[in-house]
Amino acid sequence: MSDHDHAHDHDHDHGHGHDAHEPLVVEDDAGNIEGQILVDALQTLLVERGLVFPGEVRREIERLESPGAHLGARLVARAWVDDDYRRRLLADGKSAAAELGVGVGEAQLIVVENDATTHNLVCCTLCSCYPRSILGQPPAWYISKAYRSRAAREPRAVLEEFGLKVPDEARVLVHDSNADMRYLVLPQRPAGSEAMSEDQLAGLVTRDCMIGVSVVGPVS
Amino acid sequence: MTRGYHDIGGKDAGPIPIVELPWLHWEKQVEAIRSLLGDGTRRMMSLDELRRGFESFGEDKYKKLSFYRRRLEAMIDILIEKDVFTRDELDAAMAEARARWAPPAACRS
Repeated sequence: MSDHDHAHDHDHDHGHGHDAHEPLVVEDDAGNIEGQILVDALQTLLVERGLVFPGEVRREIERLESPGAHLGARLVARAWVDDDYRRRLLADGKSAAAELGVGVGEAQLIVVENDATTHNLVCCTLCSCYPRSILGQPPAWYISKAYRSRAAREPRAVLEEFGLKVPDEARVLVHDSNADMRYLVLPQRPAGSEAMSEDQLAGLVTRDCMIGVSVVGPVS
Repeated sequence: MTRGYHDIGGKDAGPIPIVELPWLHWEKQVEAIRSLLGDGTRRMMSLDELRRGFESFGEDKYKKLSFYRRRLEAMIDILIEKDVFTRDELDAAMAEARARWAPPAACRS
């Protein structure tokens, strides 16, 4: 935050100490309680009007919480061991995910492959589009103003903040997600993993590798 | 064309706040309700409508609200716009919800 930003916008209605240029706006305790009260009131009104049934929100929360990066990792591991599957995954992510029983309900899924000459990075500059059905909810930094702003303009500098130095000779492709298209990075299979089973390989694949802020390190 | 305040791709910003925050219960409720209202049987609110909500409620409000609060406020604005309930009815429901959060009365002894 630069000094000239400092003087304004401290006086808004729920009294937090942040200003408009902070990269990630988080609620303090009072803000979280206010959020809880507001969403409870909304839920009460929707149930009263018969638009949402009692208990339905709780079940939906369970449904939203169940997907996680282990699902994306399964797609990646299968692509590493089965070249035909890899081609199908790159051609039509949604159908290839369905082959493994993984449903991608929210949008089309475009899978982009890292290799020796290309590194892929996924962001959403406008909001928070993210392949939730195969990676779970996006991390806080993914929806931060700083990541949304900078990933598209200076991806190499952003990646260095995540501890990843992409070689100068490799190109960096940035994919800006939207409501209709979600992206998944297919990382490079690491050196030393030749003898590993598909399940073992899936265990190497992290969420950050599938967003593109990290790579799968060599197996020793 | 004027650039919207949400359209921040390519702008300058400080370091990435590389943090993992817990997903709080009220935030899950916001996402669950959004998901239910947008499902195939209800079709009451699309993601595009939700975005139109927070992308038109003004820059100051957009910037000061947290991610889930922004979505919650936009959802409420749109439901009021669709005459699902009124602002007064929301205020009354909030007063009831707030009462449930009031601290318990002090022990007498």
